[in-house]
Amino acid sequence: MTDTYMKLTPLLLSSILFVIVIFIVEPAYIIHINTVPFENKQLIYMLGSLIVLVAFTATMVNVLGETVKSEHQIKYWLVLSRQEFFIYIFLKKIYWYYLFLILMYIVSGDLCKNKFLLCILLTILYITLTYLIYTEKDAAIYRGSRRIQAKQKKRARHKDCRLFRNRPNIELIFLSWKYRYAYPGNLICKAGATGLGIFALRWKLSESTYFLIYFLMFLLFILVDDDYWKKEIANTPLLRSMGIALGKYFRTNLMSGICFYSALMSLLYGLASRSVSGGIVFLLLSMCFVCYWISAYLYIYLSKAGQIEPLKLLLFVVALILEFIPIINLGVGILFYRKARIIWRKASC
Amino acid sequence: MLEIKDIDKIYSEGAGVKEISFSSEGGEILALIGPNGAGKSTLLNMISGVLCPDKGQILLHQRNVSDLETKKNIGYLPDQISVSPHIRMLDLLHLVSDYKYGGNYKDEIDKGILNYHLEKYCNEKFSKLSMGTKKKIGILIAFMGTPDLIILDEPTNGMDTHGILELKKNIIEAKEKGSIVVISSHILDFVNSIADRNLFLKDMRIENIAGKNEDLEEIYTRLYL
Repeated sequence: MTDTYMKLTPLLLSSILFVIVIFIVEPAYIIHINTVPFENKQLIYMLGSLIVLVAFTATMVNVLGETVKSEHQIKYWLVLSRQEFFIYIFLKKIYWYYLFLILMYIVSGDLCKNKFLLCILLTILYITLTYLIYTEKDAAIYRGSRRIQAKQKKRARHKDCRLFRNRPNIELIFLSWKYRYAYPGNLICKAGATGLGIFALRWKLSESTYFLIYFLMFLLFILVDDDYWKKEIANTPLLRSMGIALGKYFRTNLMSGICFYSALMSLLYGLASRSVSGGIVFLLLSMCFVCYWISAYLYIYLSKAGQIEPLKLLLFVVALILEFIPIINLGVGILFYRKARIIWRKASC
Repeated sequence: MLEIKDIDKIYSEGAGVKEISFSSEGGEILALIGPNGAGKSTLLNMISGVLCPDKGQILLHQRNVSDLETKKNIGYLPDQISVSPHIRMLDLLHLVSDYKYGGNYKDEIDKGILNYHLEKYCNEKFSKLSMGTKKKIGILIAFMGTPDLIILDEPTNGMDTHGILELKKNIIEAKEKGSIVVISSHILDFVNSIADRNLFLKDMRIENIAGKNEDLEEIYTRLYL
C-alpha cells in the first residue's frame, strides 16, 4: 500500500501542479507581462524561456551526471546498450521532464499559440538535451573527466588560507559559503539572478515591483540550495560523532546562507529603490527566510524524507506554501528546527 | 578511565554483542579480534557514543560517552568515513579543528599531512581519494588533539606500508601520553606488535583475553577454525 502510494505521489503531485499552472499561474503570468510597458512581449517570453533553459540545462548536467555515475554498474550487470541505459536513466528521472514541461509552459507564455504543438516541441527538446548530456557523461566514465585530467597536473599545490588560521568561526562560515559555489545549479542561478538584478536596475519600476522581482530571485536562490544540502548533510554523522551541537552547525550555515543569499539581493534592492532603510528591511526579511529554509532543509535531510524523492518534493511544496503565511511560518520554522534537533540528538544517543 | 559495564546490543538472533564488560585506566592499547560479523564495529560504535547500548553503561572519566562534552574527548575512526563528496581534504581537517577544538591543532594537521605524505591531496575532493588515503585522513582526525580515548575501526584497511608504520608510531605516542586506544583489526601481527590486551569476540561475547606477546594465531585457530 505504502509502495503504491509512493509510486503515485509524483504523478499526483505533477497533475496538481499542472492544473495549477494551466488555470492559475500561466494566465496570471500573461496578464502581468501585458501590463509591463514593453513593446515587444515576444522578446520577454523568449528571454525568459532562454534563462530557464540555461538554468535547467546546468541542473540537468549535474543531476544526470550523478545518476549515470551511480547507476553505471547496472549497465554492465544487465548488459544494456547505450540507448537502453539512456531510457533507464530517463525514466528514473522522469519527474524532471514534468518539471521542465511545467516551467517552460509558464515562461513561454503565448509564444506558441498551439499548446499541443508546444508540448511536443518541448518533449523533443528535453529528450535531445538529456540525450546529449547523457552521452557526454557516459563517455566521461570511460575516458575520465577532462576537468580531473587537467586538475591532476596542478593538484600538488598545497592550498591553505592563512587568513582564517586563528579565526575558526569565520573559517567555518567561509567554508560553508565557499561550498555553496561548488554546485553548478547554485552558481548559475546566482550568476543569472545577479545579471538580471543588475539589468533590472535600468528599468524604472515602482518600489513594490522591484521588491517583488528581487524577492522572487532570492527565493529561487534558496530553492536551488537543495543541491548543496544533498551533499552537505553527509558531513553531519561526523559532526555528531564529534559531539558538535546542532545549534552551532545551524548558526554557521545561517551566517553563510545570509552571506550567499541575502547580502547581494539586499544590496541590489537598496540600489534599485534608492533607499537604505528599504535595503535593511529587505535584508532582515530575507534573513528570516534563510533561517526558515535552513531549518526546513535540515529537517528534511536529517529525517528519512530526504531519501524518498517524492516525499521530499511534497515537503518542499508544503514548506513553500507555509512560508508566506505570517505567524504560521514562524511556528513551522521552529517546528522544523526542533524536529531536526531531536533527530540530531537521537542519532548520537 | 574507560568503564564498559555489562552492555548488550542485539540486532537479531546471533547479531550484535552481549554482556560485554571491561575497563581501562589509561595509557593502554586494547585490540578487538574476531571474524566478520563478530560485533567488533558494533562495540566500537557504542564505545564512541555513535550507537546506544540496549543495556548497560559506557563511561569515560565517570561520564556517559554519549554526552556531547565527553564526545569531544574521543577520537573515532569509523570503518567508512561519511563526509560530503565535494569537500576538499584540507578543508575537512580544518572543519574538524574549527568545530571540535575551536581552531586549535592546525600545526598538528600540517605535521600529520607531511608524515602521511598527503601533501598532494590537500586540494583534492574527498570522493576522488583512494580508500587508503581516506583512512589516513580519518586517522589524522581521530588523533587530532590526542584525546583520552581513541577508537580505530580497521585502521589498516587499504593502507600502504608507510601509512601502517606511521600509524603504529602515532598509537604508541598516544599511549605514552596517557590515551586509551581501542583498535579492531584482522591483521594479527600488527595487533600483536602494539596491543597490551587482546579481546577475542565470539558468539556475541568476549571469549578470551590475551596479554602482550601471546600467540594470537594459536588462540584464533582454537576459537574460530
